[in-house]
Amino acid sequence: MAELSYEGLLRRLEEADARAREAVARARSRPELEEVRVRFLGRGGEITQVLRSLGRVEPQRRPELGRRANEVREAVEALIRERAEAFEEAETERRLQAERVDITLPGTVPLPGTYHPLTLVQAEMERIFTAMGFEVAEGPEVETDWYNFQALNIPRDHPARDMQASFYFTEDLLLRTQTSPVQIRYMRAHTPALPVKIVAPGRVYRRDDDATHSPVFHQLEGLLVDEGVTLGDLKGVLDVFAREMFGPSTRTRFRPSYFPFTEPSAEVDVTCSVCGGGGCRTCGGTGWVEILGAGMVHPQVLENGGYDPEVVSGFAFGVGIERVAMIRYGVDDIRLFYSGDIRFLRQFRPEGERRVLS
Amino acid sequence: MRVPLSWLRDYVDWPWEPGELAERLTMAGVNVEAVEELGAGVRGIVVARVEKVEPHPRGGGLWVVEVDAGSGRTRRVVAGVANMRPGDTVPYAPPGSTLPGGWEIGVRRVRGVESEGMLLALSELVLGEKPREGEGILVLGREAVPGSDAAELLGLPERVLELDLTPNYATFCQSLIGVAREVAALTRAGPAGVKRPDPYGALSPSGPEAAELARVTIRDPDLCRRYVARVISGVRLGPSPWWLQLRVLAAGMRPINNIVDATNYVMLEYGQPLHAFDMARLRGRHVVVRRASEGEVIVTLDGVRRTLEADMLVIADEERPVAVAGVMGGEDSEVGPGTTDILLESAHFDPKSVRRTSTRLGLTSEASSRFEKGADPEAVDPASARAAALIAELAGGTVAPGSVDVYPRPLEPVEVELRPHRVSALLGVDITPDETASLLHLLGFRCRPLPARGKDVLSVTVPSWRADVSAEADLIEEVARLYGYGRIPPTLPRGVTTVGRRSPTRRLADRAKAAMVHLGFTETVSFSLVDPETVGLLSPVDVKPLTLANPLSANQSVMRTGLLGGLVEAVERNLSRAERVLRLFELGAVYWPRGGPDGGEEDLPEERPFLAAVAVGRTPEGVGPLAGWEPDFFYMKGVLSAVLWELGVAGWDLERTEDRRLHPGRSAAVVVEGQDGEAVELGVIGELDPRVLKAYDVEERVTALELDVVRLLEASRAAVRFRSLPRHPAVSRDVAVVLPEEVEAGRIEEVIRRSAGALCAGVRLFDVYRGDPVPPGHRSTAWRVVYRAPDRSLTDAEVDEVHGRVREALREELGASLR
Repeated sequence: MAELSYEGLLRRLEEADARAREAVARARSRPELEEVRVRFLGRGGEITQVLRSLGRVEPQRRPELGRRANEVREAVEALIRERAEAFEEAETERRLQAERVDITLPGTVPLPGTYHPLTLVQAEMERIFTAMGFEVAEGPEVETDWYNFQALNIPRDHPARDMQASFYFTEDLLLRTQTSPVQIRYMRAHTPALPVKIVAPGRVYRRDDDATHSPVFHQLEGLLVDEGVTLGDLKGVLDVFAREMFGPSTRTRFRPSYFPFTEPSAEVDVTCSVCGGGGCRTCGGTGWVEILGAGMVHPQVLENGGYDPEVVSGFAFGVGIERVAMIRYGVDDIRLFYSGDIRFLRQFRPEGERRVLS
Repeated sequence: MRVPLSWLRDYVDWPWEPGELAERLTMAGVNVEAVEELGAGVRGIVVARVEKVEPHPRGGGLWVVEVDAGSGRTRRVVAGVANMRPGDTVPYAPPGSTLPGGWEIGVRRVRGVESEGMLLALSELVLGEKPREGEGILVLGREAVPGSDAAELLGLPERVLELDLTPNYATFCQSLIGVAREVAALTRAGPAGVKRPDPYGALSPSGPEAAELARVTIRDPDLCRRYVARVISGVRLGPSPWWLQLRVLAAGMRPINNIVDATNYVMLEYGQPLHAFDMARLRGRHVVVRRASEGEVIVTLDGVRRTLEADMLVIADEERPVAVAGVMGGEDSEVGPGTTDILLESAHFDPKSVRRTSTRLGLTSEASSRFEKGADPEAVDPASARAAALIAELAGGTVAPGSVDVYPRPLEPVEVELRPHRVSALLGVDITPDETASLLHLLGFRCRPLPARGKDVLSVTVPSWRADVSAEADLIEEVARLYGYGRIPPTLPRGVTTVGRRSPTRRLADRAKAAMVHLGFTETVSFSLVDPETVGLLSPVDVKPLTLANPLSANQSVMRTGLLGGLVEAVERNLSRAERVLRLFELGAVYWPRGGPDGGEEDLPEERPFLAAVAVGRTPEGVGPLAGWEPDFFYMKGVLSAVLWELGVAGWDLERTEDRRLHPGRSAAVVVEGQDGEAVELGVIGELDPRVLKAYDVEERVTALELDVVRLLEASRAAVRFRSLPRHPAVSRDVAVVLPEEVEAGRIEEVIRRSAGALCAGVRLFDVYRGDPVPPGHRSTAWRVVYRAPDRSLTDAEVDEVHGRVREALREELGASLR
């Protein structure tokens, strides 16, 4: 084959380079760009041909021309790649734009339901007390007179029975009027183990029916029996409960009261969460809202539970779950809780960071 | 108990405003519910002297009264009663004056006579209420000055503490003197700060000794510790003076007549109930305190004829009961207009006996509410003397010297040992023994050291009025309440650290609730007291429900035996409010009878937690794949699957069930294999039978789920064990099976799995087709069978062979034609 002149080939190369750059710039689509690639870099492409012809250039000038030819090839390849990516990017952009949806249409997975407000409040209480190491215990709603009254220091013919009108099945079998019988049951089942540290939520029943009293309602009982338990401890634990339940600025007030199964006994008020203690309609202008009854376990009750009051002491308390729910959510009629009214129930959606059930 | 403050001042002083006094009492346990202001808003009421009382010209029981209200000009008013006579002074409300509550008085014509204002009864003036039956115009007496301010004369407005007392505080605070003792303790004046009246100084007895006039016999000293009778002769019944009526009224009782008012006044003062008998009606002038004989009858003061039981204590004369002891007097021996001689009873009755009697008779009174808490035996005689003197003062007559005092069981002072270190130990604050003793002293307890029983041990003498105190714990409470709960610093318990456990059942229940909520169901809580008419309709078991002996109403008289009834009732109520898309669930106990009827501990009824759910109503039409979607059997089966997945119940299955509550073709029992290999039923799902729903007035389709939580827990215990991930690829083959509709998919799947054998790694139904070319009454189900070997890659030949066996089994065993 005839030798080719270095200059001639170099000129062809430079001209091909210039045309290739122009063609790349002119290409308007991926297929056009592909045509350009074939025309210059394909098997018979203009730049490829220059490379193939290198062997026919005088040997001394061959490397120089070869370097330049490879430079041109790589530069054109890079240009094409760059341009192809730009086309791809533009196409993706176009497709995504075309996929735009109306974000105001409704979601297609149905909404969850709601927990009952009593479940929410009870779960919150259980969380607070289990975090303080109280075990959650339970006991029967259909109780004997002994557990519901007598073991709790309320003998037959005692005026304290007036405080709790009860539903009876037989002379001896009734619906518990309080969760306190769980105290006795738990102590008798666990004596002499210490500490006894439980809360016991559940249904209770009293013969009352109006906007603030329901014949069926819920309480949460608490009991701590150990060596050296004090009234100060009761105050401390209930302070923690009140702050956790109603907010960190909540304060408590302990008023002397009477329950047959505790002595000393107290009614516990918390600062009204509506007015913060200033006085409003919710708290009747006093700044305080009564939420629970509490006291030091009566020595006779400890004995009935199988513990020696000379060795151990304890405190107990009982919170009305509806009562707390009414304060917490501003519900004004206790009967709504049992209405099954979806308009009521659907209002109790999760509140902010409060975690409720697992 | 209501405490008029001006009356309380007779016995004690305090330095506080009424509001602060109320607060301090409350914080010491004497719970003041409200501070009421009696006669608030009264303005312009003046004293007027009655000049003339004449019948209204047109009659009608009305009177025209002329009064002088101090201005010299005679005013004329119309009145409905004429208990006042010329010369009496009365409260007069001229036009422009106001009564309690701001009611303004004007001029009006009454049957043609112009009435310039009105004359007032005590109820109108003090309470702003209409006069009681038989109540007259308040007569103020001759010394009141016409024209002066009547409210000022009466001390209006009067502040009254309204006490809401718990039973133990009621023992010692149902009297003015009792409350005065508490106030004196709060001011730190102690018992010396209580000014008690001298009951004996006012007595000026004359005539024959009481013991010559009457006899008292206590037959049952176990129920009557003491009985004191005094005799007052020559009394005349009439209205009480206004100051006494006002106090009795302010304290919440009705003024009746001078004798009854005097006994009530002294009861309010001392807390000791008293009763006045008409001596002339006591046969033999002999009071016999005895148990009633069975079936004995008495008509009590309220006019009710009552049949007595053998263990009720009565006051009788020689022939018959004249009072139910400590509860209420009898009509027969009541004082009345003709009464001249009175036997005044002051006694101490057994608290339990009074309470039992009052409960059985359904009769409570001011007296019974005091006796049942334990009255003060030492107040019996002073209160008697005080009342006798007061009756003589108000109703004339003379008090016979002495009294008939039968006191078979004198009160021994109660002594209680107190270890002061126990006070600090229980309260969690250091209170010295001296401080303890001085706090107790303020309340009338007397303490003395008891060195024989150890260092610092105190012997504490309980005052006679504190029947509620009998043990060390009672004393510690007294110290605590007077020390002030607010001064006890809050601490946290210092015992060993414990785990706040929750039982597996509770945790499972919470997870089940969470699953249901996330599946779109809203939780309800319904009454566990239900209607006996419907209790059985949707119950999972056929049992006799537990039935209350004393329900509030018939439709809440039995315990529920299932949850679905409550849910369907909620559905009905919501539908009636046009809430048509309902997904509701409840998790709670049902109550099943167990054991014998006598309710001993071992045979308490069973309380079993259940989970139940109902779904009603298509989701609303609109956008999205779930729009217009019917919550049918398969919806609920999906819910069931999700819940059981969440609770870790595996290997469950549905079986056709004959449950009268459910649609016969669209229902199933949920079963799982139990530990002994027996099938255990976890519950049911399906549409409720429309015939049952009719009883609840529900016409919509209701699909339901009902699961036994106890069995769920038993079925959910399988622990997770990791299995290595598959190392070899799977191969799948599809088969379409044409069979009559009746052949259920589950049966086909079973045949596929069995015939595919050990290499089968999964079977999935992916299509159901009806229509050409599938013959009528048939359907084509398309299945994907996945094959895999744990130790090698399967060859096509191997898979074809196994799959061939599957196809053959479908043809042979089910008679299927394959596509």
